[in-house]
Amino acid sequence: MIATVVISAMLIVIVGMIVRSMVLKARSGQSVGCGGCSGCSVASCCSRAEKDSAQIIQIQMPRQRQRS
Amino acid sequence: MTRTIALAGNPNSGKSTLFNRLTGSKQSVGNWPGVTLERKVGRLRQHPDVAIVDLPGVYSLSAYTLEERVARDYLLDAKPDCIINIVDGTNLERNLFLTTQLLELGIPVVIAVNMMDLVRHQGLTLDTSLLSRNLGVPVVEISASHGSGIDHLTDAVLRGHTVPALLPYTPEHEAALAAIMQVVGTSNRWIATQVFERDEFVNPRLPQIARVQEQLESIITRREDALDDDAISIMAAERYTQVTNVLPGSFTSTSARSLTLSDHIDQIVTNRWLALPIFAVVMFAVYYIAVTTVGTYVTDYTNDVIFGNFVPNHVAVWLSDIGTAEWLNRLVVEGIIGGVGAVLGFVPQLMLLFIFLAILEDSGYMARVAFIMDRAFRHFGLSGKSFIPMLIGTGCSVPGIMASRTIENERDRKLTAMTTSFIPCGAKLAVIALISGAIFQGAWWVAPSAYFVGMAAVILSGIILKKSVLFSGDPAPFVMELPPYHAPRPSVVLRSMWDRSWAFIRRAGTIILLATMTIWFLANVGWQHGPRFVDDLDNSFLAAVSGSIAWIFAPLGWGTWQSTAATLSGLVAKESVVGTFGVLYGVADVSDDGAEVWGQLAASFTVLAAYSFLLFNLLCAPCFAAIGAIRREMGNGRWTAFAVAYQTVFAWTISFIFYQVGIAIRDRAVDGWTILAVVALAGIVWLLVKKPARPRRAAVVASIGSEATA
Repeated sequence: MIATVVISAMLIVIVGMIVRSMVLKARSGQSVGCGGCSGCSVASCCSRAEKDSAQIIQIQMPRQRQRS
Repeated sequence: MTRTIALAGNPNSGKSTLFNRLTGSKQSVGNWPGVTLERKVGRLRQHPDVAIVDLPGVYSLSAYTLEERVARDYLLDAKPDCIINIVDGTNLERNLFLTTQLLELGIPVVIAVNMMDLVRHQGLTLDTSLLSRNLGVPVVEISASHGSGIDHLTDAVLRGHTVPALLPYTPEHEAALAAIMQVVGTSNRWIATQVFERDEFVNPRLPQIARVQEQLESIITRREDALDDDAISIMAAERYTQVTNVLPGSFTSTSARSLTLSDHIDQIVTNRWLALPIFAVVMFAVYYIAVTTVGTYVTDYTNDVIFGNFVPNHVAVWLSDIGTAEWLNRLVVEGIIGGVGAVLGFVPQLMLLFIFLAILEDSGYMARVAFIMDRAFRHFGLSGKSFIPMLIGTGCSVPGIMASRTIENERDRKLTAMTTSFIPCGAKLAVIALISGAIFQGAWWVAPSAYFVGMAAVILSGIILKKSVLFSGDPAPFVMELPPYHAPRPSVVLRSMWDRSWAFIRRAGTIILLATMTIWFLANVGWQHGPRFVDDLDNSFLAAVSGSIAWIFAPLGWGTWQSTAATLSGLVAKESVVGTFGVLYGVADVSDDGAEVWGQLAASFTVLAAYSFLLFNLLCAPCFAAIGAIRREMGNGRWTAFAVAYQTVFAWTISFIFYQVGIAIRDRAVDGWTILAVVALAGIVWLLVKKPARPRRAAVVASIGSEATA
């Protein structure tokens, strides 16, 4: 009985972690079904890299305006 | 404060390789143009305050293509602190055309002359000091693939530089540009050159341009009349004159330029008559070796011994020893190990396939394939550019579909996004290997045929759809630079293989694990005075749901609820087809070597039905992730629904024709299904040979309008 509870709990935790990681991936704009960004030639289209890039542009823009 | 360095250069000049060297990242590097579709961002090694932005490869900053728009908009709007202009030393004159534009942007530039190892090998010499003086910016020799010169380049970039001096045009052209700058009130000469080219992109940036349009036209027309040429050609000629002026003395050839080894290889490999047969033989060998010969030995061991015997037996004994409930024991052994193990069992074959594909890519052959396929694709209205997404899609359809955005023509882009998933991705390889091994006993032709079926589906769909009003139109011109052949680099090949394989393994540990657990519960729980475990899987929820639509697949020869459930689970991820079979047939008693799992599967299919099943699962709607990618590229739900419906109907029709005609030939008997199959076949032939529809005028205008505003 205890073994069943422990193994079941472990499975629930694993499933929960997988679902959580998928939700986080989806929220960050990454594809849930594909295997990840490393090795993907279009990673910047759907990954955090795009957001990172956008942030850099946002940081740069005000500075450029000040210069001009 | 973050400093930003932009990496700009021609396609296939080695930008992505240099980006990886500078940032230590492991972004994919493809040996064909167009790998970088959008900008990538990384941090300079040991300098976290310096951001490196890898821009798409472009030949100029004139916005003819999507990549050029991305690069130009970034450079003008974000104004990076410095530009590293990577130029291919073996094609210096052409690469410096872009340089002449970058030098006018008012941003410090450092030039990295790449492929210096090849420059020397070809007997060319480059005086970087003189070139630096002529251009007025630092010039550094590097070899991104070998990692040489990277430290010098980093030092040059970090040193900081002033805005470069402008290279002079001919006096007459200088006068014309000066006049334009005065009329529109700008000090930016690059903007003036764009005004001269009548590039409408500058209009929003210069609101006053509308008021002085007549004056500008007068300046431009006067110059056009004087040279009897159009403004764009005049501008290009002026830039090439600049390049010609800076090169003398700094770039010389010490040997007579003769045909290189790449030229000799290309004489055979891209030969008009030999190219396609060679490509067919190469891809046949790749799939045959990876799936049928070497790969199958390792996979058999993994499937039969590791996941068929060793792991499930030991885990089952351990779970029994610690006293877990019977249902949990079965969930872990049959559901998780049976399902995920069945998928992981095919990793060795997959790794081998990815190694071969990486070798073909890195050697430069795959770039030739796009060139070769351009001839074939052009016959039905697509260009070779549509084949590049299909090359990328052999790993995973998602990036392949997304790569279709490099195609400028909207209709060709949509057509490519719809058909890319016909080419077997890594996940489908598991299905191919399963059917090939379990049902055809590793017959030599099954795995290679799957690839050629995918290619044929692309070509058939291209011909059919291009004749419809929705997709009709001439193919766009396809200009592509062929990289020189070189020996595949082990590090690149192994990294490419590992990246793709790891993606497959990660999916097995996440989405496939969830799918197989769900399948196990649905296959073992039924309604018997309430939800409870059932002894006979035929009474399960899964059997009830799948059985209710299995009739759709009965004319294809595999109308069982198990096959239907496996096909439906393929929508989650294509490997899930294998995982579902592993769960459903793993329930049967397994022999010591685990072979009975797949024996049960083989017993439920005839040979014709098995290949029909393979055909349908190769060609039908891809997984949800790929459908999501299609949604992104199509831009709306209706187009996505059309794409998914087309793929599914096409897959069903092809499988139906194959199975029914096959049955008729085997049994030498004709029935109503055979007649329907012949009618369907005649319908496809008619669609292939009918006259192409002319696009409605309104549709053409709308299309042109949308492309112009895109």
